[in-house]
Amino acid sequence: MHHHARTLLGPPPARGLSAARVVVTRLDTLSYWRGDHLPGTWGPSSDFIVLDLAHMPARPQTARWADGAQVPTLVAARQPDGDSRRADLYDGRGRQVASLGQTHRAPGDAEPARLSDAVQVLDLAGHAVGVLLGDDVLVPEVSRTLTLMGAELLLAVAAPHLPPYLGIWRESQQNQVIGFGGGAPPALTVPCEADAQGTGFLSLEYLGDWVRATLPWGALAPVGEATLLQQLNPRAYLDRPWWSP
Amino acid sequence: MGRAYLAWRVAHERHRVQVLQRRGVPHAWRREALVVAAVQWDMRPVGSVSDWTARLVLQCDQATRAGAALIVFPEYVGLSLLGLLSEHRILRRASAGQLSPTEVGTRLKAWAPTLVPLYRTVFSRLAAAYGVTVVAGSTLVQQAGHLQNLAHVFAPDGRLVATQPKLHLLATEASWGVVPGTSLAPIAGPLPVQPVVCYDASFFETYRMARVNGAELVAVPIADPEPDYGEAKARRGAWARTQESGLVSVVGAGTGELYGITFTGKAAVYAPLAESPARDGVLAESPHPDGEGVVVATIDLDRLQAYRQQLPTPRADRVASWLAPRYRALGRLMEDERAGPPPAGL
Repeated sequence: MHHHARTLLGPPPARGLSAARVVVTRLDTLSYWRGDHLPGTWGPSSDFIVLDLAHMPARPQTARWADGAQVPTLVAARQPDGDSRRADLYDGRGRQVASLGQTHRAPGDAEPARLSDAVQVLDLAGHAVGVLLGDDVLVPEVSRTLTLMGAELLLAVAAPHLPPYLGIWRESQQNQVIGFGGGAPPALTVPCEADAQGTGFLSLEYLGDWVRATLPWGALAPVGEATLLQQLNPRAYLDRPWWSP
Repeated sequence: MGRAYLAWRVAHERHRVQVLQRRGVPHAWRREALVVAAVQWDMRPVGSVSDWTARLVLQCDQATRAGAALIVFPEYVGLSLLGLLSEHRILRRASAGQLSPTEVGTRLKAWAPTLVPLYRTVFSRLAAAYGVTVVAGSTLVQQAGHLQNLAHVFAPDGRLVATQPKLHLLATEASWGVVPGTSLAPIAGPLPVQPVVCYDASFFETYRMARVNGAELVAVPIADPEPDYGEAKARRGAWARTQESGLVSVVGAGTGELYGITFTGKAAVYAPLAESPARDGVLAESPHPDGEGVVVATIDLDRLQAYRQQLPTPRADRVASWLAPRYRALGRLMEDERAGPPPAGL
């Protein structure tokens, strides 16, 4: 029981990964439709790829692309026939293995075809990854749920444009996890304690339409010394459940 | 342990509080133009009760001259009164780092019954004297044998209408033996203001509960023991919660040095980005993270109420199924942690 508590609330498990694992995302859709490829040296050295596109491409086309990339690929975009966002996950052989939907929307958004009722933590090349789709990044209950489910990395994709200190940065701070936002501009975020500059924003590598983020798993260790999640007060929350009608 | 000496000092000086006279008529306030004030306060120890009171009066004068109907002071504003013990050897040992956290906690617990009545009397008289709602920051109080970091709200007639224990503790407070509160108290008094204490504003759950309570404003007394102020770190708490929830935050901040601890922070009033003139979520903010002063802002509660309708609302059924069981499980795990390992043989 005690070991379980520390695993759930303490620093993230190391999982045997180094700090050099990378994610690659797309800055816009143009190169994708031109058939461009990943920067030569990036594909093989990446753990997984995130394509954050304006509109969802046809699945066979994406499957072929993912097959060529040879690493798990998450494609997130608006559905062509509506305002809802989806994220489809392909394995390194181009097979679709998961499909996620957004769970919340802002009142001003057009009615999406359907909201998803479920959230799940994906295992991407050994990383426990929670995906925040579209307006889900504005609803902290979603990222808290994913974190308590064990997510070490929160990916905000197909998200609305937000100023610094909002969106994925905010969720990274209040859940003490690494965050990666695939929007414009993309952002790699960590808790301020894990960043020598104290800003919580880490640098990215740019090459054309592509951007690469090196995920600093080891940097989260100091956060564990004053971890915010250990101070959660579930008794108080259950005393005044804001989710009850 | 200094308890008798402190009691003697307080008894000797308590009569000085009586000089606080009514300084104006109770402030009328309007939903469309509510003026709120946040105090930035140097935590340095005071030499006498009258020194402390004179400084508080100065802040209240400044706030009410600007028309404030609400004044928010910082967390631990009452700890400046420990200066009454400055001649005592116990504080010299504390300043020199010769007391363990447990010893510090024991002393704070022993001194609280003497300091808290004085703290309450002074703030009650200030609220009545100026005819405003005062969130008197917080101070350490003995509750059922335990120390709690308790925020106090005084109505314009001087009544203590609400107290709110800090729900999420810093490691230092836990090491002193402070225990967290177990619920967010209902709002009381004429203004829809929910007090929450410092670190509580780092948790979205606090603001969600405040909104259920009917809050439109959140008063956040802070005293951040962070020698190096950073813009990003400062945006993680009340400012971020305001953007999520659409509730205005009024932040009273402690600064300066108190027995070896350095505090930094900016008194501020935060609003949603779209409802702030510079679209930065700041209605008023102290220019410096140290020193003393008052910041004031005027807010339109009706306009903010309309703004909140544009924010995505958490789906009740989903949150109930995702988070409620996890909170219950976490609560059980934490209880088990506190209870320690089960006895052998069970």
